[in-house]
Amino acid sequence: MPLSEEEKEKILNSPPKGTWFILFIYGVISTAAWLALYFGRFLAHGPIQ
Amino acid sequence: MSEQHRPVGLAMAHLWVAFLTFLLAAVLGLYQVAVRAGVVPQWDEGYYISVSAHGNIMGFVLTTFFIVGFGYYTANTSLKRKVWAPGLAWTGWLMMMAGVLLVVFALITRQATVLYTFYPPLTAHWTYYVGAALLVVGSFLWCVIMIVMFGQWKKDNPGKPVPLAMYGTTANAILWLWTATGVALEVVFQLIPLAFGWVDTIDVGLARTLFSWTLHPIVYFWLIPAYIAMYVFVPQAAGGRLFSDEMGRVAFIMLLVFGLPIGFHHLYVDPFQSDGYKLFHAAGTFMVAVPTLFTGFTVMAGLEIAGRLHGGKGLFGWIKALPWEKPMVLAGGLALLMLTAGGFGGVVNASYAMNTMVHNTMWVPAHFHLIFGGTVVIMYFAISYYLWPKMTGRALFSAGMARKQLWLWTIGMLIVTIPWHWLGLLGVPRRTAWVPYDHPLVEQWTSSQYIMVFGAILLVLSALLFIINLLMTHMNSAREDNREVEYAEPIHPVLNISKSLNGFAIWNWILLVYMVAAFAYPILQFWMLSGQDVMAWGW
Repeated sequence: MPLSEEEKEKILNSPPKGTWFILFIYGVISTAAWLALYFGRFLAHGPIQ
Repeated sequence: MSEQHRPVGLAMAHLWVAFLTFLLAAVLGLYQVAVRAGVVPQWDEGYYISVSAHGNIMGFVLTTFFIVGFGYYTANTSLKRKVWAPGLAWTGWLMMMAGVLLVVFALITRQATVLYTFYPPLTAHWTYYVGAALLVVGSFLWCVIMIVMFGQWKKDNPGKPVPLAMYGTTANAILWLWTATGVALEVVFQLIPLAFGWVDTIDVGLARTLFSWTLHPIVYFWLIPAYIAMYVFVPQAAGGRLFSDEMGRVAFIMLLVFGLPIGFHHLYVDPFQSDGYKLFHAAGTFMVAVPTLFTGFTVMAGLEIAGRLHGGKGLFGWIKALPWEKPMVLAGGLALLMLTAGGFGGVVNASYAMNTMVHNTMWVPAHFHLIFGGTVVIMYFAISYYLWPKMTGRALFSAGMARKQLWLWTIGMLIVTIPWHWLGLLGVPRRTAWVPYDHPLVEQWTSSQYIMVFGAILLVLSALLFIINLLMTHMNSAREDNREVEYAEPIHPVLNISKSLNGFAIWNWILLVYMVAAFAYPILQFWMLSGQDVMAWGW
């Protein structure tokens, strides 16, 4: 069913909640991956011999 | 503006050079991974010629010709005025072509076989450097034309906001002038005299410092047209609106200002710059992630609005409701996906300490293939699919083929780059034809080396489909009715715009101060120091 003008206006002025959520998830995954690489891989190499 | 005033010939002349050379470079890429995997006969010199040609075409020819051609068409259609000084524009094209031919001569005569060869004492034939200089100077003429058209429009439309597409294009022209200056200094004062034999010695540290000036911001020169399309074409194709015009302007300004003085993250392990300056550039590198996040947010928000206008509900229902059958929308989604993956790899590269773990390994090409081969090139494909019917007056030959091509490219690029990340963590060096030492260690790399051959085959097939689709569009009997290039309207029209968001004067001054702070001492030290030591900055 086509949206009314009122509904369209409401969508245009609503915050993009889905986008915020996706970026939040991306931030969490990226941070976790960076920490995993840093502590799990980089520091695991130990000091330079 | 009538169709007869469109710079179709000028744009096509640039775009076809870009794409025909791109096809050749894609085939060379397949050859290289086949050599590394050992599935074709080993020929080390052939590998290095191929690496050099692949890198030069993708990094310099495809990008510069595409950006210039797309820029002329954007300036014309967004400002609705004729291209200023078309004779100058054609002169630029001729200079760029002459430059490419000289570079090709150096490459095929085996006199420029180390990728880019801007790292002395490895040196190429003089034709390589003169050719590169001609390519850059030719593109500078485009920069001048873009800046003049930007100024003319502002003069004729006082107080009005410059269309976002043109604002981004002009930001890119200014960025390119700043960016290319570093390598221009290196080529003119160091490499050309060395290549001609006018000097016997060269300061390698100075050369690497000047090249680092160019080496990273050049990525933003490639990326900005992709971002322009994300801002102005993707929401329009999706049936939505641009979430924020001002956000786009801020992103372009930040790319211009913060994208420049960050090149020392390529020199983290080089001894001739101090820790303090490297850290200074590292901070700038992280800052430049901000405009990318702004772009990701704005484009995704525009898509979310479009999805909801198509009836999508809930937190993620809008994704399903988007018109993915449109190549521009599909490309926008895939390019964002590649940007998130490639961006993460870049953060690891930029991390000062952790960089030592992946420095000069396969991790590095994995990162830049996701950003360049992923985000940038995918959007170049989408722009072409959108503009070709507008330019030729003939409908796109096959939207279905375009979708398949975009998927094939994305999957192929992921198949190639995911093993490269892993190989990088295992310490596999990049830019080497083969690794004959320590056989048991090398054995664990083998399966990943084979996987990437399969990915490269998909990439070549995708490149072929792309070229075929464009060629067939020229011959398509179905007409394109709508020749207007349509730019997305923002949700909230920009009625009043501050001078700082509608021009570049203040940002150029800020950038000048920032560049002096970031590069003046690191360059001058080569004349100030009596020995090999570096005066540390801060500690």
